[in-house]
Parts: sequence; C-alpha cells; structure tokens
Amino acid sequence: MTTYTKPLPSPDPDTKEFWAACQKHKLIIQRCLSCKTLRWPPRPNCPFCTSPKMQWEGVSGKGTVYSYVVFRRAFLASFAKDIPFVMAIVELEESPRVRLLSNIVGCAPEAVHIGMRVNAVYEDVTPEVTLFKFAPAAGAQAR
Amino acid sequence: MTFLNDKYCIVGVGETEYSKSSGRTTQSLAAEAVRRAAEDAGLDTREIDGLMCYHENDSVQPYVVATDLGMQLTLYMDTPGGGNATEALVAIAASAIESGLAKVVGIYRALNGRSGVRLGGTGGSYVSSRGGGTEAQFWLPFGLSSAPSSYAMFAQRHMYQYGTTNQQMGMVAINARRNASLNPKAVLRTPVTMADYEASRMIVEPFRIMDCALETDGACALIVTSADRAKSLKHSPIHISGAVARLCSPLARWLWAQEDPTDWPGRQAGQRVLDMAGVTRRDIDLVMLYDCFTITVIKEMEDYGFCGKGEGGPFVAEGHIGLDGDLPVNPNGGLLAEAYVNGSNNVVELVRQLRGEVDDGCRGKHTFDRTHCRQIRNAEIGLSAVGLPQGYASALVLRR
Repeated sequence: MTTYTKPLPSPDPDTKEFWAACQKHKLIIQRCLSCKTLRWPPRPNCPFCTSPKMQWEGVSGKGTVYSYVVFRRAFLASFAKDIPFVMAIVELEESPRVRLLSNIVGCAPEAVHIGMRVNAVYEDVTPEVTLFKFAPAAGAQAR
Repeated sequence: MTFLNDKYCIVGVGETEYSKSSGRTTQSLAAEAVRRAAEDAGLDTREIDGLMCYHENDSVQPYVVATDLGMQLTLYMDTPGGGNATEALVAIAASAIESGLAKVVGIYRALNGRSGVRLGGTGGSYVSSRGGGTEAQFWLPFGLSSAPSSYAMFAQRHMYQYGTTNQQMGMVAINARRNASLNPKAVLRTPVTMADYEASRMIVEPFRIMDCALETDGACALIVTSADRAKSLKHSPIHISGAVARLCSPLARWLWAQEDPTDWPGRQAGQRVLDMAGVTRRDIDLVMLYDCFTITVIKEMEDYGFCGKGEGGPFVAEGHIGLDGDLPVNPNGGLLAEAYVNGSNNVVELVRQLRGEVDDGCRGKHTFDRTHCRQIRNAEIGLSAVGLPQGYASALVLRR
C-alpha cells in the first residue's frame, strides 16, 4: 500500500462535522438559522447577518464549474504525478453563494469549461479522511 | 476626510541590490535598506525612533534591525500580511507621528524571497506560515498551495465574464519588461515581445510564467516624518495626501461567496483615497499598481476607476499605460520585472518619480528619451494602489 503524501485537511471545531459527513460520502453545508443563508466555507458566524446560530444541511452535490485552472507545473511535490490536473470553483445548485474549491476528476483537463455540469464524488484517501471532488455529470457537454 | 493635509511626508527611500541569491541574512538586508533610506533623507539612523515592517514569508524583527543601527525606538511593529502593507504602514506612520508615538518612522520589507522562503515556490514553508484562519483545509488538499493558482482562478473568471484575453495580460507583462529595461536595478532587464510571452512556459492555466511576479532577495525602506521636520532634511519632501490603510471588504476571506467575485476591494479604496487627497483621477500623473500577477494590474485599473468594469484588458491594449501614455503604470517594471519586494519597491519608485530623480540611464537632467530614460514627465501627483482578491486593499496618494 502506498502512503498518501498530499496535504490533508485538519478538522477543527468549526469543520469536523463537514469532514465526518464527507467520510460517509455526504456533502453538508452550514445554513444560518437567522437569515437562512447557506454559507461556505464553514465558519462560526454568518458573514451575511453575523448570527452564530446555524445547522448543517445535506446538499445534492450537483453544481456547475464557475471557474477553473489547469496545473501544468507542480507547486507541491506530492502533486507532481497528477500534472496536468484541474482545480475548480464549483457553484452548487442550492445557492450561488456556495462556491467550493476542489478538483475536477474523471475527464481530460481540456474538457473542463465554465458552466460544465458536475456532481460530487468522494475519494477515501486515508482510513480517516475522505475528500470531495467533482466529476462531469452524465451527459455534461464536453467542449 | 482630509486629516492628512500634507502634514506628513516621505523624506527618504533606499533599497539593497535585488538578486536571486543574496547570500545574506534578512537582518543584513533590512539594515542596509534602512541605512540607505536614512542617508537619502540626510538623517543619522539614530534619529529614527519608530521602525515598522511586514512579513508574509520571511522577515526580521524591527528591534533586531534597530540594534544594528543604534536606534532607540519608542515604537516598533512587525505586521503579518503581504501586498497591501507598505501603503498601510506609511499611513500608520503618519498617524503615529500625529499622536506623538514617534517622530521619525522607518518602514522596511526585507526578504530572501527566492533563496529563502519562497512564496510562489514548491516549499511547504509558505503554507505552514500563513495565519489566515482555518480555510486552508479547503484549499490545500486540492493542490492550492500558493498564489498563482488562486489568482489564475480569478483571471479565468474575468476572461469569461468580460472577454479579457491572454494577449491583454501579456501586454501588462511586456510593459513591465520594457520599463525594467530602463532600470539598472531591475532583475529582468531584457524587453520581451508578444511572441516571447506566448512562448513562455504555462504554469497554471491561464497563467504563463510571464504573468507571475518574480521571486526576489532584497529589501526596501522608506522614512516618514512631519513636514516641519522635513524642512531641515536633504530632499524636498513627498507629501502624503491621501491614504487607505488596509481596507477589507465583506467576505474578504472568500470572495467567491460574493454575488460577483470579480468585485475586488480596490473599488471602495479608490474613491476613498482620492477624496481624502482632494484630487480626481485626471490629476494622477502615474500609478503604481500592485502587480503580483498581470491580472491584478487589469483589475486595479478597473477598480480604482481609470476605466470601466471589465474594460481593463482593452484599456491596456489601447496603450494608455506606457511611459508616455496618459496613465503610466509601474515605470520601474514593478513586481513582474524589477523585483518582488512585496510592493515596497513600487512605493520607493513613486517617491523617486515625484522627486524627478529616477535612477535610469540619464546622466544629469532627464531626457525623456525612452531608449534610456524612464522618468515620467511632470510627475507631480501619483497613486500607489493595491486591491486584491484576498479581499483587502491599501492606497496612497503622494504629491511633490
């Protein structure tokens, strides 16, 4: 078994529920209980109304590529074998305010474009950690 | 909003050699830059009683530098954070003098940004040294470890929304390299063509290597004091007419949560700094724009109101930003071609431009012959402006 050498998330009191859900292959997002806005990334207070009251809410994992880059050079040595790879901002269908950063997997970098429909997929990278990524939705238009 | 009223000024500037491998400590670099700025002002370093610096990757504490330079300080400060710090510290120095905390304040940035801790590089130190909250856990595991990829992401969106092109970004790089060819201190002194830009190595699409700032070893320093104190010093002072010291927009840590993530905070900073200075954009003779990447120049021109939103690309292509254009940008070559001293070198250049004393190829009087002269004609009022997608901005209006 090869050791996973890339940086891992460090769950903290504001984020541990999120990463725990990821391990169960579920994407959950904070919703403010005061102004009802969904927010990303997880934080202790609502940036729109400042309320600390929130609940975690499951989302579909469906979204569209809002922006993206293609790495042609590794900035971290542990990503060298992945070159070229795509990192993207994905806007979830539940809210235009929820735009997550992750990788686009399951297609060639050249196929990725803004507006491409994607679904969340999960990679169990270590026994303790699962990362969420995005792959083209069935029938997503390749460019 | 005119508290500055030209009561405070920059009276000295200095820098070290810029290189890829200084072979020196940041302590040595900082002390040299501060000593040179003091000499430039006509001050003994022991007359400096306030000393401030900033760091992101690499630095040295002011009380260490003060010891080397025989200073007894009543105020010292080292603040974290990058590109918008020089303008902010200049403004804070003025406030500190106004309130009596110090009388003569030195500001420096010293780093071994290439041979030491590389901001844009492949080392892990940059990542571990950031103090930006817990969000890194939502970037790093996916490969975002340094600035080029995050700025490229914003550039891609800007290209999509407004039709900004790689060629327009390339024109920013070409302008920087051309200006740097007239700057003996610059690290990159060879001009480049669009063909060179297009042939340059793709780093993280849509950025090529020429879209990215240098990584540099070096230090810069500035001396701020009151207009009264300046009367007995060597140079005619460069007055601080307006300042925005670290404005931060809502959602600063994740602009992607904005309705429109291409709204950067330079927009708020721009009007504020001009109002404080009591000037309009037409009064500005040259601008220093924080050019960690080509896209930031395009964005800052839009956000500070020199062109419309989304029009930064065509504005560059129309040729306004050259040395004899109506809005000369970064005559030193900026961070893209002179040196990456985290923006401090751009403020140093602005001071020299406003003095009419730029260190180019002219012997004696400036000729404005662009084969060797980079002095901007009749430069009386200048703006140094930063506004970045990390959600923060700083700006200074300086006048002769």
